[in-house]
Amino acid sequence: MLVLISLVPLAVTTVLTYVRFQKTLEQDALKSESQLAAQAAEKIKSFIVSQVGVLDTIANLHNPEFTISLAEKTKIVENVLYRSDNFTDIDVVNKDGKEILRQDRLIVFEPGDLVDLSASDAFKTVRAKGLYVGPTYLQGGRVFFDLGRPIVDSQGTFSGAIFGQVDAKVMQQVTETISSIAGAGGRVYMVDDKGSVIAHPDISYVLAEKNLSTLPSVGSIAQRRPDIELAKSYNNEKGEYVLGSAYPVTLEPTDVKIADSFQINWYVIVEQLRSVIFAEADRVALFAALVSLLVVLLATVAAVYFARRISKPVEALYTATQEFGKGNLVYRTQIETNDEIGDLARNFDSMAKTLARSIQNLRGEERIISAERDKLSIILSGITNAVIAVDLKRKIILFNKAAQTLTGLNSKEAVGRGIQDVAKIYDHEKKLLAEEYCPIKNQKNHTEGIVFQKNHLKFLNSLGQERTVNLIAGNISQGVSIDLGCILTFQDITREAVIEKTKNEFVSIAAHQLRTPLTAIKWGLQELSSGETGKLKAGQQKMVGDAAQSTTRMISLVNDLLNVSRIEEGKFGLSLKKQPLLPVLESVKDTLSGVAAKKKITLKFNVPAILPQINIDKEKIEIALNNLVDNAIKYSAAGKTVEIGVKAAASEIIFSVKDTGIGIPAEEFDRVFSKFFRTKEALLLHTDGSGLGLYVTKNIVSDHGGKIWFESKEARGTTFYISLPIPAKTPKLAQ
Amino acid sequence: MTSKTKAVIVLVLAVIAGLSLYALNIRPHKAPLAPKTIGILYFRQHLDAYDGLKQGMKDLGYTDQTLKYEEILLTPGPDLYTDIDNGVKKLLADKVDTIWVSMEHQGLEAINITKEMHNETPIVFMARFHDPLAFGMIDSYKSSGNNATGIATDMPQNVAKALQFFKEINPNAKKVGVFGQGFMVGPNFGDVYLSELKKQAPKFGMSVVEYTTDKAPDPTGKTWHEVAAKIKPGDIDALFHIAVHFYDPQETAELELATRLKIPQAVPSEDLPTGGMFSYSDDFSVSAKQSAVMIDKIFHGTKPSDIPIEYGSKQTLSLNIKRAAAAGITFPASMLNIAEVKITQ
Repeated sequence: MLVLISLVPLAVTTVLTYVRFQKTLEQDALKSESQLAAQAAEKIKSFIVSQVGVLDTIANLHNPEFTISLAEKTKIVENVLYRSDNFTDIDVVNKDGKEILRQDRLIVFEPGDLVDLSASDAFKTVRAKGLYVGPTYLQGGRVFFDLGRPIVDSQGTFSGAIFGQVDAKVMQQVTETISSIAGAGGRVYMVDDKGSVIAHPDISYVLAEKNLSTLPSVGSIAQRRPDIELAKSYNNEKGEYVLGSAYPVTLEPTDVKIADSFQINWYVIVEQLRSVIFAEADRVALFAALVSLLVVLLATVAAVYFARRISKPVEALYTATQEFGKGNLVYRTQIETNDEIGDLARNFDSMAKTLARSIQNLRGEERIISAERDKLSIILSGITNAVIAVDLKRKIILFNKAAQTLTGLNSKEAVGRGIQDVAKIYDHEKKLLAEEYCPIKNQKNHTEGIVFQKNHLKFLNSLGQERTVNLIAGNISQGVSIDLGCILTFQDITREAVIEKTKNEFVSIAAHQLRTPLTAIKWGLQELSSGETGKLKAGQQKMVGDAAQSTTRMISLVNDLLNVSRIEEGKFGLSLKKQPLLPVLESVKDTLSGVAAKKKITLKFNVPAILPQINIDKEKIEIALNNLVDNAIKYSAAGKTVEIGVKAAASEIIFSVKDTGIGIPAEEFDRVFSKFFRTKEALLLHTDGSGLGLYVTKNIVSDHGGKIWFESKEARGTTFYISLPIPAKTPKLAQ
Repeated sequence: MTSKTKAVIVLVLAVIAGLSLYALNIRPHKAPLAPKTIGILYFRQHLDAYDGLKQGMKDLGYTDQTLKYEEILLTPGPDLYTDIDNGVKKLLADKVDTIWVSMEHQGLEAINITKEMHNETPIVFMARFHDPLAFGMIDSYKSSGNNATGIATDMPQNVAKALQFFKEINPNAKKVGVFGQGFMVGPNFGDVYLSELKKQAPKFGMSVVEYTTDKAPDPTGKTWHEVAAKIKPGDIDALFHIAVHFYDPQETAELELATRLKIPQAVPSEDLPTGGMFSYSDDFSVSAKQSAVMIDKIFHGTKPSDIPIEYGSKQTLSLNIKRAAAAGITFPASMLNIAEVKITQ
């Protein structure tokens, strides 16, 4: 486009030059036509003048003052006729217009053939103007015109006239000759004032008496002034586009002896083919156009070449980016130029190589991560516990299969929702807030590990189903940076809880059902043993004693079971009352002194004289302490001492029960407070233990807000500790 | 830049170069015509015209590839008209584009035959011995009114010129001899010559002495020689030869007679090679070129009836100075000045 625009000035200049050149050529052509016409007119005029001269010679012979005989005159006229190729007939009239002599080349005129010409235009014109040039006419296939001159005497008096019939073939020859000078496509011809052709290089025009008045150059003759040469471009009768001009043939007084200019009604028409006139201009224009076209072409080729040379590397770079965009990381720009583009391409290739390597590494890592994620997903899906991960806004981001089962929602439904909407969790009747079980801390305070743990929670899912779950909420140290709030693990223990409840109910019912008859049995055995129902023999006494002892253990076991049942049913309720501890210790001493005595175990109480009062359920604390002391007695060898101690600290009272018994294996430390736990050694030595005492004790201590722990070495003994909180406002010396 | 692109550029440059050369050499030209054929009917004596026609067509740009000639040579004899008719019909059968005839006799036959056959094949004629209008070939000089056009000869002028030259050679000449009735093949060949001679001789103060015979046509010349032998010097002052005669070398015999009588002898131009001392006739070579222009117009679509009949544009005075000298005759300067052909050997 730029090339084309840049050619506009060239095109304008070329067109202007072409137009000017055309004008110049047209002017030259008109000048040439004028010269040709003048040449033709001059030849015609010369011919007429020469013929007029012949007639003037004859006229002189017929001057009345020139006295020669008519026969002599006739002979001279005959000689003129046969010597001249131009005259075919000569006619002499007297001053009255009557023929006095007529000679023809072929026809013999007798005196009787002579006529009166006084009324003819020819005679009148000669008499008036001194010259007559008649119109051309055809006769026997030849063109003629008549010429007339006056006969005057020495005084200039009109004495007659002489007329000659002139063969117009000279005019024909003139047009042929001048036409040949006009060159290719040019023609010169003559017309009369009516547009009829009177001389033409193609004589057919003359013989056919063609009228060309329809042609502008010819048609304009009637309107034109003699002093104006008309030139026009038009299509001639042959369909040729020509530049035509018309020029008159005029005789001047100096040419022949006449008073005024004599315009013959003949015109020379000169036509030239415009294609010939402007051939040079057309050639130049065409050449210029072709050169321009060549310039445009070369410029375009050059522009395209350089544009491609410039754009090709850019396109290559673009293609390379596209290829990289498609993931074709091995693609290279393939530009090897040493310019800035080449440098850019090399840098680009280098960058692309590095990028490809990085992407390759990333893909490797992505594959690993993907594999890990898949593995994790499989693991998660394989985990029977529900695992739910939430982001820092506590919206679910991970949801395993067990979670779907637990919540009643599929992964798509759950992911993105708040955990509060999906999991309604109750601790007994208290609804737990997400902020409680999933505390979100800032980056600084975000720690790794368990942040919440609680068992036997009620879980209400989206289907309205109630489940019993154990919940563990944990954080990881990078949680904040990866938008991970908590990982919640729900262990669905609904089934176990039901079983447990059923079991407990069974135990409770069974215990209740056993306790009454056992009590009755015990009472009956005590009656038998007391002898109130009759004295027993020694053997009987021993048997009743053993039965009573067994019944007592049975009752103890049933009580333990009932306690456990109440604990687990949550019906173990405390009746806390601020009260002194010594009565409690005394009760324990009373209860177990007999047992210790039987086994020759010394109970040693290390109790301060003053102890603060604390809020306790006396009965329950007694059960707890009895359990600890009873165990100490039970698993201590005979003769040993069981030490019961009490210490008052700033905020708590610490009880301790120390024995030197069989001890607890270290590997079984974790299970010490479990139900029905008994060490292997205990099972071997004392088969009557229920394994429920420590469980009940622990629950009692916990319900009082206290703690229980122990120190033990196998075969060396064990010391159990119980700490109970001292109420803040409790006076230290209340007792 | 690919090799294909280079090839396209080279091709375009070549085209532009070709157009440039064309532009620099562009010339107006006529639209080419389909190849044409001209049927020729001619006599041996008219070879000059035939050659003129060929030259004329060549000058107009026709070549051997664009123009063919189918020529039929005619020989004067008793079967001449039959030969002409057969020749015309053969040319029409061969579908020539134009028929060109070297004399008005073939022309008239061709016109009549094509008219009978409703055939519009154009005819271009050369009228040598007759005015084509008077001969019945055309309606007028302006338009033939039929499928013919051609070139006419101004017979009266030519006869007048011969008489004029007799007077210039011998201003005192009073009698011009001519071998007429009985020696001429007639009546439609030399008749106009004879009548014009008789008509115009008085204008030059001359009378015509016509030698005739009642004997049967004699191609051997015996009759002619018998008559000629009786002619004595002073019987005639000039001898005018009329073409187309029974005795073929009659013009040669007449030359011997004129030489013997020491008088000038005029012949038609076609007889000058074998007899006569001078001729003034149309230059038929030039006339034939005029006819070539007519044929060209016809080939370009112009009807013959739209092409006016032209007179031969050139007349030539030819002098055989050697023969004249043999008869003791010297041509005057007026003749020598205008003569275009002067034979001295």
